Amino acid sequence: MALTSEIGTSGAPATPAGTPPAWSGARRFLANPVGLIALVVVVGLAICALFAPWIAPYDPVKIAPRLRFQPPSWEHWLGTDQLGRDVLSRVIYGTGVALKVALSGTLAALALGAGLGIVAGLGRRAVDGALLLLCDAMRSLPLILFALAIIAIYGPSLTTLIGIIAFSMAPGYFRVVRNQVLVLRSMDFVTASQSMGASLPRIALTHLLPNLLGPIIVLIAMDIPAVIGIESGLSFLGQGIQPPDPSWGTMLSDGYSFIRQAPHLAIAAGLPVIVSTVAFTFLGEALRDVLDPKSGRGR
Amino acid sequence: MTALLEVNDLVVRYPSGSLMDRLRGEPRDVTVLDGVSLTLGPGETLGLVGESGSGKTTLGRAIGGLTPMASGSITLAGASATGEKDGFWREMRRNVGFMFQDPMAALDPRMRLAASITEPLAVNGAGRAERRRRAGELLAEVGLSPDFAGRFPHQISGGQARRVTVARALALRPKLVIADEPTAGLDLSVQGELLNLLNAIQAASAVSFLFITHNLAVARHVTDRIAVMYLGRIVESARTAEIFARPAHPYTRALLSAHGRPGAPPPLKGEVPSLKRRPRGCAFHTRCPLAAELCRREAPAERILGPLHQVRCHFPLATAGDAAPHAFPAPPEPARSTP
Amino acid sequence: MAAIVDLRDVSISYGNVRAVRGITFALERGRVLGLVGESGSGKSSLVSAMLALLPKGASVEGRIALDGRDLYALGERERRALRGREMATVSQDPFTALNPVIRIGRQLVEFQHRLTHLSRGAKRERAREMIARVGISDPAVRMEQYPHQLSGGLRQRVAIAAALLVQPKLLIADEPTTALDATTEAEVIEIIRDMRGEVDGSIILVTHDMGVVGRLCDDVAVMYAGELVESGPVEAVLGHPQHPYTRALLACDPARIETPSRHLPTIPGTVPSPAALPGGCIFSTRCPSVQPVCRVDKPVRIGIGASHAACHFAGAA
Repeated sequence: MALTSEIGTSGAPATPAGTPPAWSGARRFLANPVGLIALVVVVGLAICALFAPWIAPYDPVKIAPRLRFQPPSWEHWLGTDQLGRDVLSRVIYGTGVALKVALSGTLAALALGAGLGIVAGLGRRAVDGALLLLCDAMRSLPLILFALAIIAIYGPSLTTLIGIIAFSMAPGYFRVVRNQVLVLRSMDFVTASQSMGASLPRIALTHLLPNLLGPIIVLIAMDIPAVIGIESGLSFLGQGIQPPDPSWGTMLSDGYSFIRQAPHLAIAAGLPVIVSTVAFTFLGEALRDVLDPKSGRGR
Repeated sequence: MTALLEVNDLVVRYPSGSLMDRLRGEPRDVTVLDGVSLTLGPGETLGLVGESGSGKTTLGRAIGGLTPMASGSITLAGASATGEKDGFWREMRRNVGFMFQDPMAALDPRMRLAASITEPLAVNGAGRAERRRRAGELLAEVGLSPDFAGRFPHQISGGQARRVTVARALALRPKLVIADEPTAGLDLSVQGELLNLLNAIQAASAVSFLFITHNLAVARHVTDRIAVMYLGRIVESARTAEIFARPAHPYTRALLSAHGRPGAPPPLKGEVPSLKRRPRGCAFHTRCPLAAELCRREAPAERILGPLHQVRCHFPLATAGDAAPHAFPAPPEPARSTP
Repeated sequence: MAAIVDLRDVSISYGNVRAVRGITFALERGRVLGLVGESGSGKSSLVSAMLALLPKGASVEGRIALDGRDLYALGERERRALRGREMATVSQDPFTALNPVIRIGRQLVEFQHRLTHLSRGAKRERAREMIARVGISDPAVRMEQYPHQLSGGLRQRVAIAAALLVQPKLLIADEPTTALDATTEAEVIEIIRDMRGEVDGSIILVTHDMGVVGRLCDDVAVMYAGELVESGPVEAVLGHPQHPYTRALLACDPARIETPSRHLPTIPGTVPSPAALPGGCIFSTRCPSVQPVCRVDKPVRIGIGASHAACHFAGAA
């Protein structure tokens, strides 16, 4: 049954085929200088984290009592600390720690929050209500007090840190995912899928996840600086990463103690926190502009 | 002719409003469809017309199993449903294609059109190769070139999106297509193209259409029969030509006059009453130019005015000119439609 | 009588693309103009240009004069003042025209903020009167309600009341009935017709519905692919259309087809993109009675009786 007579493709001329949104999105991203710089910085941080043993000039934990508080020099670009350890090497290894905590923390938070969010968004009203209550209860806990209480119980370690971050960040993901699911669920294309007899898991997989991906990626990029902040903060308080492992937070804490003798210590530890935080935030903003479907389709 | 679709005494209720509303003594739920019965034969097009809030969209959704029914029954191609039984609905959904009001909203913005069109096939377990082949066939059927398969919804026009939703509705070769305002927002010439396409598809495949619209000018050309809805009830149904030649219900006449037929009574005054406060007696009496004491007291039963012509009115065919409208004698048994 | 709106050779460009080209018409005081065209005809751009609300990057050539003043010779402040006092709009979507969190009454008072000589009480009183005049029952109750408590038809009436409160010289109604169903549409048309006297100037009604034009308008201007193809009094243009596009458009209207038919007329082909216009007449690619000359020579607008049409064969049929 071919209906060819006078059924032209009617209506306004459409944009040419072959430019899927992902590609045009990448082009738009490259056209944004701030986002591009942020991306370069983030990629640089990732390289530092992954290849620290090859990049770092010295062993970050090797103590050299005779070389304490060396100012920046050709041998030690960022000088040495109170135990004579090379600060640059410690900053580079610290990047790995910071990113490890940030990524595993946010991913754990995402898995927990998004999973519950989808359940709440698709489930019955009672389930949604109960999860919402739980989420609000978690959010109402003051973060630092909660963290210190947990650390008091389980002792400071990387695992505890990631657990704290996952629990404190999960409500954010839960909120966003649940609300998005509720919005998407009432969209006609989801109803259309239902009218075809599609099962809930199928709808979640084919329609919800692809449409949730954009907001989630943005949220991750925006959350990573917050997590880096939490890690540095707890380490600064001596409750996060334990010495001798290099962490920006512990280094900042040390630098703060010796700020009169060696101000370069605090600066060297503080700068990467600021730079990474700003880079991830701007990357998040740029991603939001690119991934928001409205920004690409508006004329 | 056995009916393809038979809807009997369908009632749909939505839970109503907030806790505050309930404390104020308002009813717990709103009856959106109040005892709707209709039949649709194979290859037939039934137009469902009425103002917004008349329940015509809800009726379409209930028939497709998208809205749970409180009571009544739906029978499609011999199989019937009285409640939410999954097995039946799965079978039913294979036989029903949907076209939603807003075609752009009905397409997943992140899915290529080929995937959208063949989604019903995927739900029913079709493989990748079969989907690709059928996508090309379906695009050709609705007059779109194969290169549309790889496009995304934002790369096509409104008229093209309509065609894509037609293709998707036809993917499983359904016996019934429920089309909700299929020409809303289209330019006149594009509207004509789409209606011609639907007619050509019907001529080739004997699919039935439930055509939900508020545009009577369109309904006049493309429907075989028309059912007029008001506040969740069908107040009149008849062959399309009969509705236009001999509208019996004052509401039908008001709708027709709204389309600017000369010499017709002025358009309706006042608002459609809220479903929460459905008027007693005949639901239309608050706006009816002919309303009498009887109408305020008693809901009119269905009357048969001729073959396939039913109306729910105490004074059918009466005009405002009649000095004292007198009630037609009611038939002894309010018969159901038996086409 | 002076023209309220006077357009001389108006073109609108977005970047290098001239989306609207060479529009010339005048609308006299007290007349209602129907601006008709399908999507891609440029009617929305033209209306935005008349309101000086074109998006950034769009440029206007030619002269748009409102009541004798060249709109684009004025400063932005004066133009804004003009929009509030002398031009008013009723938009397509009555759901977005009103602020959802402010009561109707207060919004109607706010709409009159340019009428500085009136007290707040007087403005409220005017608003109440206007609500009653557009056929809304219980105006005092409605004033205290929020937009979501009103149906689509009522909201559109409130929008009309709001537009009329500023006593505009030009009222532009952009597809005011497309979002409404048949009976509500009929009511809104009645109200616009009844309210004609309230507008101390002219009304431009943007629509693609020929039925609405026939019932409401005095003049009609038909646009196609960014150009004005035919204009004139409604009786002349709808009764004896001169341009083949107008004829085709009228033929497509299901309401104008007497005998029910399963095969509806259409206009084959698509509207040419403004970036790739055909040579000669812009309608030549789709015209049922196209001649060789149409593909080469661009027709100029010529007067036939009371109307004007841009077709080589206007007046011949």
